[in-house]
Amino acid sequence: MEGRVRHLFPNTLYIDLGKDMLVITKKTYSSPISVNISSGGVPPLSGLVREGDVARRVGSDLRVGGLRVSLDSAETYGPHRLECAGTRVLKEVGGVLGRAAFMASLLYSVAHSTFTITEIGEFRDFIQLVPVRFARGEQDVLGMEGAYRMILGLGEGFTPSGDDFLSGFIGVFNLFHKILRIPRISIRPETLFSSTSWASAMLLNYVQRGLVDEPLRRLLHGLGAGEPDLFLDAVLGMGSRGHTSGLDTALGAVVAAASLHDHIYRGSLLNKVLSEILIN
Amino acid sequence: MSAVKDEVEKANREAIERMMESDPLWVDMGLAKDKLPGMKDYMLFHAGPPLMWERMSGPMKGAIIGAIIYEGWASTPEEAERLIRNGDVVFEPNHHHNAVGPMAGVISPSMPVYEVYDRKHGNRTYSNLNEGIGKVLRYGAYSEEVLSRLRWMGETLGPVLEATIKEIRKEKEGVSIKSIIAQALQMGDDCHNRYNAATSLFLKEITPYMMRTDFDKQTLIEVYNFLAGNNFTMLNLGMAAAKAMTLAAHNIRYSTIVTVMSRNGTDTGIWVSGLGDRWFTAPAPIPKGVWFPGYTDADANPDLGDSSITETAGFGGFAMAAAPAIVSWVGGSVQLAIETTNKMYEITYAKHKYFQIPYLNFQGTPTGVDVRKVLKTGITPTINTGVAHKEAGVGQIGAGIVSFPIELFKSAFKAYAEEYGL
Repeated sequence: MEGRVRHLFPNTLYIDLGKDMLVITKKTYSSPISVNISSGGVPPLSGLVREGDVARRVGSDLRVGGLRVSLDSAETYGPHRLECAGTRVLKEVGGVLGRAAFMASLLYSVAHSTFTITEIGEFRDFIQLVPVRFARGEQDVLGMEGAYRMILGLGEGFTPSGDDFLSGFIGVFNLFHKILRIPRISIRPETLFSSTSWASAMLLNYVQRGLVDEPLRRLLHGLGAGEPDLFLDAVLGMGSRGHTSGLDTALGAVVAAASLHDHIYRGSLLNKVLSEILIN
Repeated sequence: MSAVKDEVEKANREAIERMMESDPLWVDMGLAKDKLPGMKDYMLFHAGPPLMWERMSGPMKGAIIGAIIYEGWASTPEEAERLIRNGDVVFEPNHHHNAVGPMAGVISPSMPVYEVYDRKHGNRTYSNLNEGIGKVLRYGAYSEEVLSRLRWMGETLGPVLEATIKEIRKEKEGVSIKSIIAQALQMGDDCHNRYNAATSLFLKEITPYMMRTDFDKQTLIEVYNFLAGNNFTMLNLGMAAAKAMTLAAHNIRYSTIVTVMSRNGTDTGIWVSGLGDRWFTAPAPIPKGVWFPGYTDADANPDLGDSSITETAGFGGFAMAAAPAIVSWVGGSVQLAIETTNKMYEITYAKHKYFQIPYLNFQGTPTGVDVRKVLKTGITPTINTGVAHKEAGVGQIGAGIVSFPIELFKSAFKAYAEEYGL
């Protein structure tokens, strides 16, 4: 295994392995693509490694610049199988989706952002093009790559808000694709990489393959198990992640779940969710 | 129709304004049964959220037993327990009666209490009297030494203070606790776990009036020495003042500001202004402390006391940067004290208009914990606290720092969404 450091932060570095990405971090952040190293006694990673440094596996060690990580003692996480107990879970969790959107919208209001994704025109257009039309029964819209391109790379941050929203949105839709026999959302890599940053495209690509980090897994688990309380806890747990990353992801999941709910039960839950996030 | 977030902003602005403009004065003394609304015979008030005997921790049980013996309802701990198990004693949280008490916070009908009056908003709040540190009732100790001190406080200290405040009231409305806190924060106190300056300021203000009372010289010297020998004399008055400040901000529709943070040694609990008197609870954590000789964290009881009302009102642990010397009492470094205050700015709504921190260029203290900000940042309120031994009857074994669990804020916010969501 060999790669190069593509992005470097004081506590986290992103290694480009060609088709894959590896994240080495001092944070307690569990994800199938990350290696967590102890934060105690390790100086800032930016003092040990430089962008472009070669990363190489030597025996059970990963060597990157001046950093040596023993893969035997570092924390790593395998992917979790995402389960869905059936379409009934959408009814069970449906009762709290409006509340989840309300909570997210109030947390956005203290995020010190100049704007949030819900205020952007392209986002509103995407909502009308995909989730709203799907809720009305149009399955084909899930394959409209142009619609996803509208919000890919949208917003600020290491992972732009539009990408974060899509993580939650795609994560939920793909959780149900087998049960509902709907197309799995899979944006082509060339579209991803030409529309957003490398790291964000990689992360989104993992999500659409079912490889998600722990906070999103918890949210999908709450939904897939039909546990409204777990779902709400997971939404709140994502609130503190990044600037608005966690909220954007949670919002994507809530919008997707409401759209799926209305698609199956011919309800008006999506309207309720949208009124919470677009008015508030 | 305006968006909910506009309503929230409006409500929070109002809550914080009321909290900061509250003007609590010490105005009177009396026995709890005469002063505390709802206090009856065979009733005990305690710190934190509601709690049944079976779930009480050692120090809370110790304080309850001590209070029952003090009241003369039983003469031994066994008799006291029998009374409790028969259901003859009623327990209620102090906060349900606009009262507060440090640590176990047990207030019984015959205990003297301070009465504080918020002259801006008209509320009255109460607290018991401070016994000092070490083996004291509030830490769950109830030996004869503890009980005889309590009796002296009831028979001598309370009446002297009552006569003193009556002398003060001949000349002015009362003693401004807000003014003492504002000054003490600039003199090295945090006004939760360090009240050295505040206690001196308080004594400076009341002693001339105490001298004018009809008590004999020996009694006055005894009382003065007791008050001056205990740096926590002002704690209970500071807490009653903080209760008045937060009460002024309570029950404002749509407000996400926390108006009570408290612990009973088993659970922690909070109130949120816009959700009324509903408790949101989670298990109480064990503080990280500096231990008295011979004790370790294995001896420590989970956190307890209403004293975190000080942080709720924007001082105490939130003002640690004002009190570098406090780290010798609660542990950590001066840098940690500064970092703690800086972190609290991230979860509070405003900087206090009147409570300022010289080291931070006289910035106002972080004031008004906003549930939204706690959940957005993942940072929870940090408080300074005393630590009680987990066994009944031992008392204080250290002091330290503790953070409120995030679960409290999650459940409060879920309830908030249920109440105010479309």
